[in-house]
Amino acid sequence: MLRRVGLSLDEGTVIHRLDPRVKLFAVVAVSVLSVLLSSLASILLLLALPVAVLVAARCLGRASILLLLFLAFSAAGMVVVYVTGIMSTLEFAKFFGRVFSVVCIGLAFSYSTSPSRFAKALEKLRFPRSVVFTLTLTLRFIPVFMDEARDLMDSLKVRGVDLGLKGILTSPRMVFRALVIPLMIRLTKTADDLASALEARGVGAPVKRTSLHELRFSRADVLFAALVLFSFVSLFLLDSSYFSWLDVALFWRFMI
Amino acid sequence: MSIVVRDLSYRYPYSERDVIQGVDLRVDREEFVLLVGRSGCGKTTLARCLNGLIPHVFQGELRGSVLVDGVSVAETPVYELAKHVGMVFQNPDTQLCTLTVEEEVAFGPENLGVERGEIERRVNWALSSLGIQGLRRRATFSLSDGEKQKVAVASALSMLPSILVLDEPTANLDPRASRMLVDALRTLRDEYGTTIVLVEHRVERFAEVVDRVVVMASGRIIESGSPDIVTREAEVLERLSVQTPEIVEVCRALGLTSKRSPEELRRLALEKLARLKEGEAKFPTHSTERGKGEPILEVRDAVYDYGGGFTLRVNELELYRGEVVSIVGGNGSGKTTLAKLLVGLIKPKRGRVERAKNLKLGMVFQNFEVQLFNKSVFNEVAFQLRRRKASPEETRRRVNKVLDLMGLRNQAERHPHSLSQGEKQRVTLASLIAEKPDVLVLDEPTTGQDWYHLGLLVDAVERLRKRGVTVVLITHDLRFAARTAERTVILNNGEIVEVGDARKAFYNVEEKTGFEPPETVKLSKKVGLKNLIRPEDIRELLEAHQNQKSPLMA
Amino acid sequence: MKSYFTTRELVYLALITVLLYIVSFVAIMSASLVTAFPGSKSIASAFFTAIILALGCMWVRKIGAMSFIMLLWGLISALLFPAVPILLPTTLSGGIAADLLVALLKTDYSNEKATTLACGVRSGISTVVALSLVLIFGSSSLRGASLFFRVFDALIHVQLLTNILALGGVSEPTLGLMSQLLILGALGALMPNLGVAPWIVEFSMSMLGLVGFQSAGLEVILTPSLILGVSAVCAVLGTIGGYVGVRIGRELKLAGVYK
Repeated sequence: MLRRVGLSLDEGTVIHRLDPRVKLFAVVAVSVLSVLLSSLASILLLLALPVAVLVAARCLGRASILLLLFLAFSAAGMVVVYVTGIMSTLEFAKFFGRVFSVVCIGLAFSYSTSPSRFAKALEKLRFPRSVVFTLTLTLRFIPVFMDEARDLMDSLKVRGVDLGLKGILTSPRMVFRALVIPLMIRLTKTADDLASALEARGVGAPVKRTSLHELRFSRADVLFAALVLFSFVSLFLLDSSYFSWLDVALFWRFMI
Repeated sequence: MSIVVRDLSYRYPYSERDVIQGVDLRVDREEFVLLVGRSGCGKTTLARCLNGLIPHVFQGELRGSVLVDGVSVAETPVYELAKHVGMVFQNPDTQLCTLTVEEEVAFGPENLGVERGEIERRVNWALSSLGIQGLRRRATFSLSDGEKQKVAVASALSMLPSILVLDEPTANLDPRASRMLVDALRTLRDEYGTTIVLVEHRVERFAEVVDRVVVMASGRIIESGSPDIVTREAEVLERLSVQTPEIVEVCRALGLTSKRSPEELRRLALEKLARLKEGEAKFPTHSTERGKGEPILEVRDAVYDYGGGFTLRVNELELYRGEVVSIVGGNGSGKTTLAKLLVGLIKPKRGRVERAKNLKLGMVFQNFEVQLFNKSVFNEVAFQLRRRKASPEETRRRVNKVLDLMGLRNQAERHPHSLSQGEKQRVTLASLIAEKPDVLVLDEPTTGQDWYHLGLLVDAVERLRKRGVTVVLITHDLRFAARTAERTVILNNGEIVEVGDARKAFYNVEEKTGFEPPETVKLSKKVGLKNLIRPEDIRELLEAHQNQKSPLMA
Repeated sequence: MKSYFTTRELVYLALITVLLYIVSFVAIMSASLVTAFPGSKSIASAFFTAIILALGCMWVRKIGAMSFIMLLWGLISALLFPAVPILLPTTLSGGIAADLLVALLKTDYSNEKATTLACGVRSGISTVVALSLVLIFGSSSLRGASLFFRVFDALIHVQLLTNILALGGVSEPTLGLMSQLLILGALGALMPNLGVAPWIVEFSMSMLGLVGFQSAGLEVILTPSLILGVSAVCAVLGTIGGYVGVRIGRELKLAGVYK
């Protein structure tokens, strides 16, 4: 993940081809809904959309480790909560559900959106050009500096600078001097070089910027957005009136 | 006229001296010019004046005039000038700013507001003119340095300039990639009529490809003429600390004049060498089997996976005390990985590396700048001593000794990062020498160093060897390796393809790596002589030959 | 490209963000390995990120530098970590708070003291928002609210208000939150009258809330005192980091590396 900035791998699924703006809409919708919903049943249903998206993007495999970890922690938490009675277990389960759905849709977004498309989407969303430009630059240079940092740590080891926990504890000043100063030097040098190169490529031109590839809404995008909207509205409406039966049932059965 | 520079003088802001003074230069349409000079002579500054970086981005004081394609540089903004002059810089990484090759090449025209269909056409053309259409969808960080530089050239070309200026574009490339880049430039000129100004501090590789060579020193143009001047005016170049072509050194060693064209010189040298061969001079043996003793480091059956899916395999490699070993190979051949293995930074997946007891190892990395982080040169060199809690007197004594050895005594109180590249390298070297290592590895020490500093480096290596330090030089600069090494290891694609006496190894280097061997080797091979890898060897051969004819009285 | 920052400054800000990402990633990774304490990640990264931020802002000098870097960092996080909606407001709020501070002090980032304080403020505010957002997003009940509740109940009410206003309606989670806090507040007020030493009450309430789970980067159960405590620690670390960064910047200036 570190070298290949962004978690996205081009799997070529429908989800991958969707306009990032539509996917962002889905993320926001799920997040908002996760707070609005109050019954366990609707929260569990809410989980369905993100998981479906993950499956459709063929990312469930990669996501599974993260998700399993999440499940394990939450299961442990539920046990503790139940035993100690610190809070209502039902509430805790709902909390877990809310967070889980947000995490899932977030993962689905990250896994299926390439940094370049993301930047283009931001530009379409009227983010200032300077922000999008800088963002692309940052994404481009993360792997470069990762390598630099690795080289740096190697070369410091050779000079007897211990960067492990022991080193940090015994002489912290030296440790971060040795890390920060060379990195800052590299940074300044790179910035100088880059700034010159960019000027030479016409970055300062006062004309409207054009683009080789345009981002346009396709039928799939409209369908997906409609689906999300439909789920949002229906879950919200059904939530308060119809879905509390699960809560009530659990309460009576388990006194939770 | 493509470029007309008239009486140009310039000084950077906050500077008290002019970096270039009264420069006059004219470059014809479709001319391919090589601009050379030692570090600090002003060639980079002059290059920046050609595309408007000076004065618009760098500010400062500019006097005189620069016209490119008839357009005045001082009066035209940089983005306008970009349509006339494209620029390629030294560092492959820091001029690429997007995530894929296609985006990168489209970047320039996009900034200029070019219409989409036209951008597509330009991208196609730029990529094909350099033969890199296959790289179109690749991510920028996954490219090799040579590929990155080609993409950089394509990105400059997509703005359709008639002039291309390149500032030391081969500095970070191995000989093969350098060659490919320069050949591509030559093709650009031949097929598309691009005017090209190539700025370099090395002449040898490029002089034969260009139309004209211009020599700069101390901000002035000293010489300008056909590429022959690199040999004819070799003395002038030497005084200016510009690289001396090896053929010149060979001719001097043979006692021949060097004031001829390179082809002439080669012909003369070959004649004389042929005569030496016929005379069957006995070459004084330089045996590297001189009582080496036990190996101090052994690598056996080691395997390690390094970047790009390659695997380093070393069946058997030994290092002995007090020798100079060069590890030669191209980018990606596994040299740095091998170095890290020797020094102990990484452990092999299989096999083992055995070191003599208490063996002290040191390594100077290719970008040695990252190894410097103290407030003063003195502190830098004293760093490890102080960590070992050595006494202040001993520290001072040892540090001063090393500083003297490296010629850095005067810089003791300066901040390491305020020094020049050559000085910084020596500081890094000094700080490692202060620890009295048994084995010292230098990774690509020739990168970015000019001829003068290379000379200092060669001396330093020799001095270390005399003190019994084993020096391992990792380099793709074969000429440098020939001057210093006794034993050579040749790496290709992670395998050791040759290891042994340097003199034997260099004769096979071309087959094994595709690199051009040094001039001396090329000539010797042509006449069938052996064991000659540098001009000094030729001199010794000549002397031996002469002594044979008139043996010295005992 | 029309912009408040010059091209050179934008390049610099981009690269500072790169360093920020690397440094905080490393810090967070090592912290996660060592402890599961909620907020530990914020603490670990606070110090190192503050150094980088100080150096970055000192170079660019203009007010707004901090917000810009934080905006970039939030967007990068949106792309790279699953918690999309959570990290952007977190980082951005810290950046804006820092810039506001510097603006209020009527100076810019060339002033060393302002920079140091700004780094501290940014760490503190970011942490507060980060840990509190979890409450808004997930929790419906708070347990173990200590006596400090009354001291910063304004803060909680602001949260609740934002919650309500932003989401257009009171829903059960919010009600649950409110009622719980009220009950606990009452309990907290009652305890001392029953003869239990206040500090014991506080301490045990905080500890009860300290169920140290970490789930994909989000703390599960928090108490207001925990939030404030961790944020205060982060603010302090941020200030120290800012100070170190400023010192290093001074040295680099002398070495001729800085503008």
